[in-house]
Amino acid sequence: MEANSVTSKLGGTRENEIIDKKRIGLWKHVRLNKWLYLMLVPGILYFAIFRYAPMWGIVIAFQNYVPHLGMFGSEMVGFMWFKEFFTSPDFMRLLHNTLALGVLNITIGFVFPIILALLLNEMRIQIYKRCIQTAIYVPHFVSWTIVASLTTVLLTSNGGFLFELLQRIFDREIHVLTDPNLFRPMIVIQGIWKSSGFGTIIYLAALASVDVEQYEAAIIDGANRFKRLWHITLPSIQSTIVILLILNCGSFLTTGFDQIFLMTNSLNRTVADVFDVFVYNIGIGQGMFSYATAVGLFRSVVGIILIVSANLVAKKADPEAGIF
Amino acid sequence: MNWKKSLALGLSLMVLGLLAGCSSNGDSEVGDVITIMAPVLGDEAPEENSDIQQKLEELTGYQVDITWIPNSSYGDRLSIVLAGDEVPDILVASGGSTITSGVANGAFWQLDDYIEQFAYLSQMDPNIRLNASFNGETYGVYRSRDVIRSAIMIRRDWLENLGLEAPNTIDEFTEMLLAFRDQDPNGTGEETYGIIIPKWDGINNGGPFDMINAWFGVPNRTTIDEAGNIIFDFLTDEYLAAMEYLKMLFEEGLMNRDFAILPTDDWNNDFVNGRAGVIVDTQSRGNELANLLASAHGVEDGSPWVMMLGNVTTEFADAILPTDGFNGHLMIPTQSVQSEARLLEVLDFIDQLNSEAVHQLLNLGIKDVHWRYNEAGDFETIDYEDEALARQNSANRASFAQLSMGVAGFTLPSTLTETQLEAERIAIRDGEEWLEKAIFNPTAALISDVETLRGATLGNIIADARVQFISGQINRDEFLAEVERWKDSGGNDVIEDLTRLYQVNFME
Repeated sequence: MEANSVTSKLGGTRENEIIDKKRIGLWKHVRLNKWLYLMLVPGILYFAIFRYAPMWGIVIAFQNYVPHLGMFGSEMVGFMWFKEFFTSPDFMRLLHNTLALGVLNITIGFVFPIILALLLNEMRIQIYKRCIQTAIYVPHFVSWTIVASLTTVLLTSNGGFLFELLQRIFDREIHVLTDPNLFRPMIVIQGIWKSSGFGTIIYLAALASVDVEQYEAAIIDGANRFKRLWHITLPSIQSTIVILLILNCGSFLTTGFDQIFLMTNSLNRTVADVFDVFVYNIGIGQGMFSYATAVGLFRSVVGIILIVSANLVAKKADPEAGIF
Repeated sequence: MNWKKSLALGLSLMVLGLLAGCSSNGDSEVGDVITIMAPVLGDEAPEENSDIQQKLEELTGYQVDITWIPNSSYGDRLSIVLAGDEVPDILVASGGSTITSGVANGAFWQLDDYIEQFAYLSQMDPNIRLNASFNGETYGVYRSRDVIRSAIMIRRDWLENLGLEAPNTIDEFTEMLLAFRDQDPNGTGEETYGIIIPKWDGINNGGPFDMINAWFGVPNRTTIDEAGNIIFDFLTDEYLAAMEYLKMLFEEGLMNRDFAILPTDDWNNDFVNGRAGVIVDTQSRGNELANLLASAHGVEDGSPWVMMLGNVTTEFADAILPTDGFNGHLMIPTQSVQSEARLLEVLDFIDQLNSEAVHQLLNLGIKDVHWRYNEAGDFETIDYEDEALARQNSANRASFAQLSMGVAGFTLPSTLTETQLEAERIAIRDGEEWLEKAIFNPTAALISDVETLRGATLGNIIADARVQFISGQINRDEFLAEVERWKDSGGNDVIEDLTRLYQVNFME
């Protein structure tokens, strides 16, 4: 970081401040860059109030929490709920479904935005590229409820447009909404449609910072398109890819609740049941707050382990990489 | 020194969060406004201080504050509200494991010692009170409902167009469905099918599958054999016969193809649009369909399009699915009502809700504003010309009816001029012979702890297996394997629990 000397428009050059920070003290540093820190305040408040402050509520995972006795009146039961969860007949099925969807999301769902970004990067006509960029970014803002409704309306066997189209192409009825074998592909495709745009924008930003001279030098050296891609483009966005991969690992077990909950029905429940939906059903549906908290805690712990391990692996490969 | 300041800041933020969580639960004192939480079934909830609410306060002498929650999310909200700070004085509860575990943990007042003190509450029907009890103990005032509420709604005009009679047996019923599918009852050449069934979560909750099961003599959730063992409905042969029938309906295209995902909100659509001809549900849906079809044709009476039947007979039985006589309770949480004095006050209010005047108010609206007795002494409703106002009014009345319990057995006045449909409905609802055909659930009053713990997941196993079997995804053996899985996942424990409870409560 010392090597960069990005000039901050708001408060002196960063290079100076980084060197001087030890001498001028933290509060002076903050005051000099007060607008930057002020921009952070809403974010910090959000995390402090909604993420850190409620954390002490995790204690109910170790209690038999009864709402009207409150947190201080409910008895402590130690690891009972965790035992109940791991030995329940549902556990293996939930784990299998969640892992399957998680792996699919990380492999296909993660690779897709990179490919999309690389493709978009090659475009010459800027206005066309910008239009496509905006178009693929918009689904990110559409709520899952709307996506689920759209999917249902298009694919319903009761006259859905896509259903009829598929029927004409493949000459048989394809029940995407209810067939357990088609559930995972449907979820992955929905996820890609909705969230690829977001990742693509990030990669495009990274790609924009690649030095053009390197490309020119490579062309002179006789590198074709693919060689340029492999040797210049990909390595430059390598750190971005690693960071996003680590972040994705953390949310590995958090298969989106909204999406799965809305697309689940009796006929595909065997493959659709994941931890999040289970927590909702027992926590809010049945009012078993302790059980639901225990399952949620289990998921968070696994997420932390995954992030830290991924970070360690990244650091081993390249000391500059990694988030922390 | 500076890091200490940021540490202090961080800690104080966390303490703030702590304090927020520790705010004391407001308990209500004698003389406070009575807070109520109730579900609203339609789109619009009554506005603050609606005219009905003001009249209610005037008649009962208490100030009330009602929070209306949409019915579709009411179950979820129950558990959250009970865990929160703002617990109301009166909760309209529709059962479910949140309520049963609340009862087990002392979250609600037990009312057995207090019921007799009140004029109307003491008139509770002892049978329904027992059905509504939790293992024999009364924890809430039940909301009385007609016992026979199920019906088959058929497009009357389709029957006439095809020259068919109303079916009496299951075979005639099937013939009729085939005719609906094949013989173009609309005369327009469009594709039509027979019966509409929506996505229905859970089992034994009065859904269309349960109603059709009853025709086949399937027990209403449980039955007791001679040795005193509890047998669940899906363990009987009649249940499998009913399911084979439904499977046949699906395979032959006599049932809607999307029955596994059709939302109940859209249930009426195909019936009203003329794509299907039969719905099996509560009688009130019949009225709803009639109103929709009547306004689609610009008339008052929907009878030419909707006919109501009670049941069809099968080789197994001539039976109909009844309700338990009630649907939900009004319960009093111990968290908000903490003193006995306040409890008696709240109970007095609830008692007054059961008086004839207030019962009429809640169900019909304000006398001489929404309804009156005309010169001949007959009951008639007063219609508003302003459409929006009329809609708001009927929405208000439907919402306040959720608070009505009717334990004292007052009957509501109704219009004498009956339409054909209304006559059919009253024949089913009040007919003596239907009460005799009803299959009752002998264990309605019993609550099993195991079921409270695992009920939803267990119910899902059977509900899912049923849908999978009907749609052909699994075969008979796989269905039976799912039933075994139900047993292993806790079903056997539930059977044991209920048998023990039955012996303790009923077989002394």
